[in-house]
Amino acid sequence: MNLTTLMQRDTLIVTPETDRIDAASAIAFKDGVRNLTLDHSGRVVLDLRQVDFIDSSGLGAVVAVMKQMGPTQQLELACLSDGVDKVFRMTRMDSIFPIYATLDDALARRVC
Amino acid sequence: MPRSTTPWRDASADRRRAVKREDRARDCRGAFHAQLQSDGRAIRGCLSECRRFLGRCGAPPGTAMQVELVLAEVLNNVAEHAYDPACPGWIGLSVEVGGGRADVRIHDQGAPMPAGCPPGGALPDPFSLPEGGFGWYLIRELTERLDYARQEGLNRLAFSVLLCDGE
Repeated sequence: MNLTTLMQRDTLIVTPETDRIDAASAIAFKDGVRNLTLDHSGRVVLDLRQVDFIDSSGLGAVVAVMKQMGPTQQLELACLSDGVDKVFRMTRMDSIFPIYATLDDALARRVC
Repeated sequence: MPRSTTPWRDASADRRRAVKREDRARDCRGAFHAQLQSDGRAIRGCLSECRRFLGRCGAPPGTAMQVELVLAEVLNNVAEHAYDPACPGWIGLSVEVGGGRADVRIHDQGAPMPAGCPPGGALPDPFSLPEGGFGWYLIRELTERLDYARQEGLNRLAFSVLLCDGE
C-alpha cells in the first residue's frame, strides 16, 4: 500500500493512497504506517480523504496502529468520507480518536 | 415587495425529498449472482462488481455502501473461519434487489458456525481498544431477518438490508 507523508510544524500527516482499508490490505496498512511513524514523536494525523471504504479488519488495523505507538505519539484522524465516518461512529471508535473534518482543522485542533 | 426565497430549509420539501428517495429505492430492482473463491482478491473483486450492480439498480450510495460492508464482513468471515485460509473453497452469493431492500443469500461448504448459530454481535468496548470483534456487530446492526441454517453440508446465510433509510 502506498502511503505518503507530510510534516506540518510538529505534526506528521500520513495519507494512504488507496480507496479501501479492508481485510486484504489491513496488514500492509498497519505495517506501512508503523514504519513511517517509528522515528516521529508527537502527533500523527491519518488523512483518510482517499479512503471510501473501511471494514472491521481495516478498523482493527487503525486501532492496532494506535496501540503500537509510543507514549510520545498520538494518532488522530482527518477527512473521513461519509462511509468511513459511519463505521467509526457505529462502532463508537469516534470516542477513541480525535476526528477532524479537514487537515486545517486537525492542525488547529478544531474537533468536528 | 416580492418574497425572496427563504434560505432556511423547508421541512415539507425535506419530507417530499425523503419520500422521493424512498420511492426511488423501492423502484430499484435487479439480481446479482456470483460464485467466488474464498480469497481476499476474489472477495474484493466480487464486492466491486456488486457495488456497480447496486449503482445500476439505482440504490442510494449510502445504503449501497452498507450492503457492501455487510457482504465484506460475511464473505471475509467465511474465508477466515468457515474455510481454512490456506485452503480456500467456493462461496455462492445472490443479491436480489426489490421492494426497497436487498435480499442476500450466501452459501459455502466450510465448517458450520460454532454453536450452530451466528454470533450475537455485541459491540466491543471501544475503551478496551479492540482490534477485532466488530464484524458481527456491524452485520447485526445493518441487516434484518438474519437467518442461518446448516443443510446437507452447506452453510446457508440469508438476510436483508433496507435500501430506503435516506442518507
